[in-house]
Amino acid sequence: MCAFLGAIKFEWKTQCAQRSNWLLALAFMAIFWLSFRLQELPLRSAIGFSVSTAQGLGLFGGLFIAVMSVQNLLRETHRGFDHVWSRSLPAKNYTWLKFFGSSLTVFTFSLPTLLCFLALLLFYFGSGAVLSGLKVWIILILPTFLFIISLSLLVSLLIRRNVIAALVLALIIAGDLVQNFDVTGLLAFAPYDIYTSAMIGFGPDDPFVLLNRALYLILTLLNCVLSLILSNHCLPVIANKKYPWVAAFRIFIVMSLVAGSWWIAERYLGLSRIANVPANPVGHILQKEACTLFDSYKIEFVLDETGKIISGTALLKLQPVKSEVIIPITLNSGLEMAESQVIVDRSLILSSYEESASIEREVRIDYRGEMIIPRFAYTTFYQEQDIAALGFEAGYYADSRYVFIFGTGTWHPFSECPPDSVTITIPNSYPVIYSSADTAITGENTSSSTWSTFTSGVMLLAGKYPHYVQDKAWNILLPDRLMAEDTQSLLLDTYQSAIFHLANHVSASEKLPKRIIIVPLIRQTYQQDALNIFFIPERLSFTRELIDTGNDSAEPSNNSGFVTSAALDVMTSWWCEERTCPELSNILVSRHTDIGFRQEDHLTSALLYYASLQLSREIDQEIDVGEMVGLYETALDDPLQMVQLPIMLPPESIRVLSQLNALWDRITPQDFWQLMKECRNQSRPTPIQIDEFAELVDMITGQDFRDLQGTPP
Amino acid sequence: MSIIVEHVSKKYLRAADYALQDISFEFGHGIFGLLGPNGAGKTTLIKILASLIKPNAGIAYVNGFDTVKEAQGVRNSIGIIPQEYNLYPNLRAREFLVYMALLSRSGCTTKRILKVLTEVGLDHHANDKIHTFSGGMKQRLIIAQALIHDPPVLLIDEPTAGLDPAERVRFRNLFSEIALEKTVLLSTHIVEDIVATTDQVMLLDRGRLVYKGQISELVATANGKVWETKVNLKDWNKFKERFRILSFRQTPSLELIEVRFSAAGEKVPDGATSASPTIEDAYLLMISSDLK
Repeated sequence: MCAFLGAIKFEWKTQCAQRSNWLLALAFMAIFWLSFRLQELPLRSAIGFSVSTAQGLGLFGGLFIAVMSVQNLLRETHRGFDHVWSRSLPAKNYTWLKFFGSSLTVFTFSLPTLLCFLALLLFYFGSGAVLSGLKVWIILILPTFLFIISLSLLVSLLIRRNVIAALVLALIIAGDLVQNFDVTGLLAFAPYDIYTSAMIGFGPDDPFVLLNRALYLILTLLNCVLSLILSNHCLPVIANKKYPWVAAFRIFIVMSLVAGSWWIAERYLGLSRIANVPANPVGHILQKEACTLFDSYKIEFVLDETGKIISGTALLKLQPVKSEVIIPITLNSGLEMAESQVIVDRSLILSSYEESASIEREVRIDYRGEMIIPRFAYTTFYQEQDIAALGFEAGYYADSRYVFIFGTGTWHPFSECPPDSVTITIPNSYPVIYSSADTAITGENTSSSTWSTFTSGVMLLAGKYPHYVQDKAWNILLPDRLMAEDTQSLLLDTYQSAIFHLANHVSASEKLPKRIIIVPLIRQTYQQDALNIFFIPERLSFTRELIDTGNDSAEPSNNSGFVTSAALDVMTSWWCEERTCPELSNILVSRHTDIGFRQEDHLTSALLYYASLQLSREIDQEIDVGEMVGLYETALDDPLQMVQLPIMLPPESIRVLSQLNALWDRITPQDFWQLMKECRNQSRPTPIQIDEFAELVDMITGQDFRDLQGTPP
Repeated sequence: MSIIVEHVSKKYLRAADYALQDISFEFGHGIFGLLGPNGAGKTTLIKILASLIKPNAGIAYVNGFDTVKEAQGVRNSIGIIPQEYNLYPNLRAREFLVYMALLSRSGCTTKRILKVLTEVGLDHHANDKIHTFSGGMKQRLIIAQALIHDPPVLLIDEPTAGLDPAERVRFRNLFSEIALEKTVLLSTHIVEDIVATTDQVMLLDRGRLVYKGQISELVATANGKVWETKVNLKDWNKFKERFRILSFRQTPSLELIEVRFSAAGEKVPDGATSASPTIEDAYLLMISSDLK
């Protein structure tokens, strides 16, 4: 063993001394610095920074490792190494020698980058972030790099020609890159688009990430075993005499591991369900229509000590119906209900009054299980509008540290129907950070919160991580260590300012939120009037603004992108009135793509964006709305310019933007905001169209909107 | 016997001819010369003995181990000095030897390294990087790596190619010294190296064993077959076509050529005198006769 370890040391030394390998260190460093912008770091969370750099290194660093490894792995297969092969080197030793030697070399050359990464974590996020950042790097990068090295070993042994092997590896890796756009594709060697949060880490993506990483460690092992078999055949090493049996045994073990991990994933993690759980937008719509049949709807909800298993009871009193009614139950697919006469195929069957006169019109539904958070509920990738409408459908998240129960959600059977009362019981191991409950009772082991008013605004935050920040007259919940203090102030002041200015414009009677809560998993800003709360999605606001702030060249001032973005968040939350706005998903969620823009939404998108520009001008006097509109008009002729702008808009919306700017010059601000209010009222249930809008403009301002022309670029 | 070869044949994939054909020999302690022109099969034979390649037929034993079935034992028993070698230029001489010893899975002490480096005259360069070494120093280092695990058998393939005369003499002496304790198979196409180090020789030509025995007996096989004469320059071309030329040189007058030749069945020309054969003559005649 000592001799083997000593040989690994010399293999590592030889590889490190090879000057062409030094390129690896340069490549890692370059990829690392290209994975983020230094000026954005104060705005980011440590985990977000760690994930983006880890993904960059995993995706592109792997390619460099593959190309560089080939020459190290094939070195002794070239002429002139008989003095090495004539030694009593068994096949297994050669394989492991190369694998571990190359792994150590890659680690050595990644050290400068790792040190830079740790220094940045320490400087920008404090010592507490170093460990969590390092953990993210180990989870995301280590299995990827080991897999690439083992794959290089296998391909090298198969081909034994430096250039051809490198080309084949490059093709394999490039092919697999396609898989990387979704973490649920378990074949992604460097998973991309992982949900990351300063508050809940990988959150609902956690099982995907861990399984994917475990799978790649097992595949690494499989590659090494196959390399062992190949080296017995094609290298002049000492072959194992019992090699067929040993090889078969090794393959059996590794294949068992692969199958086992899949089985565990299916049996215990329910991975396929998490990834593919179907959205049920129709069920939500039908259920909403049936809510009037509920005389009473009470929920009791209990979270167990592990933070995983929940159990609940829903008690319903139902009005008699003249004909049979089927009400879809939107309970999360991870929660099981006992089927009965009235509950069939996750639907509540109400038979007609005549038939069921003797049947008690009370229904009790007991449910139990582990909540599944479907990916469509929180991903920022473009989705069809009916699915986008569901927003954060689960309305619930819990892990061992943190519980988050938000408004309506599929943690109870009829998520679209406001309950009459809700009682939520959680273990005392989760200290309550915020609760909108009317009453709370703390027992020996559990505490119960009860809502009997504003039940649709159920909001409970409990756990060990988030930190409470009190700011002036506002009450803000912000996770600790999310960002630097100055940046926190900038962010919150901007949102406060935008909310304040909008409230002034739209009406004094509008409720002004007194509390800002930053929460994970929700997809868009959300204003809950009943509780005077303004919710900011952690991922959306904090991650997206970084991209916008960096585009100095295309923007009038440094903070304009951030201010405009905050203003747009506030505008849309007011516009959407406590509901999810799928029609605005392009300007709310996926701002840098124009996929999915519908013709009927062009006016709404342009209107809200223009209003948010005006709002942001009030927050930051340096913002020039005309200049920004001009940039969009330029992009009309030169589409490449569009990528530098904060939001990608289709040409139709840009033309409306120009007309709105021309309108602004002809009317008073009061008229403009009056117009916005009327538009909002008329945008239910279908978005306002250009003819209706033109009529409104004429009615409120006396202007002919169709005759207005934008400023020539 | 340290090396036993029985009816060994080897034909490479896609090759037209056998690299080795029905080779059998054996020898024990000391130096054994393996002589033959380029392409005769010497390197193939050494690779078979080192268990690096397998013969198509026949069997070979090194130090009592079957080269196919007991490769581990064979490799523990041999040190190889290949004709063509790549060292690890960024390692130091000392590190290189430690690495090679580790790959042989043998213990290696600093004392042993110094001893071997001293034997090959590199003790003052133990900590020098290999890329700073001259050709001769690298050659000495490759010998050192073959000795580092103290094997009983050394397989040496073309060890003096490209060396200056002084270095060649030094190496020959070194091999003779090593052979006092070990079995050495010295493969070369340079006849002088064999003459200077051993009297046991084996001649390979085009994959076949054409002679095995004492050098003196090899020379004796050429007795009566070597002739000397002087040939006019204008008759030289015709002369070359008739006789096998062993060596020749131009006389100072530039009009005549002094030539050693073999008549090989032809009538010896007038004025030619019988000459005492050298080992080179015998070697060339053995190959040429085989060709015929």
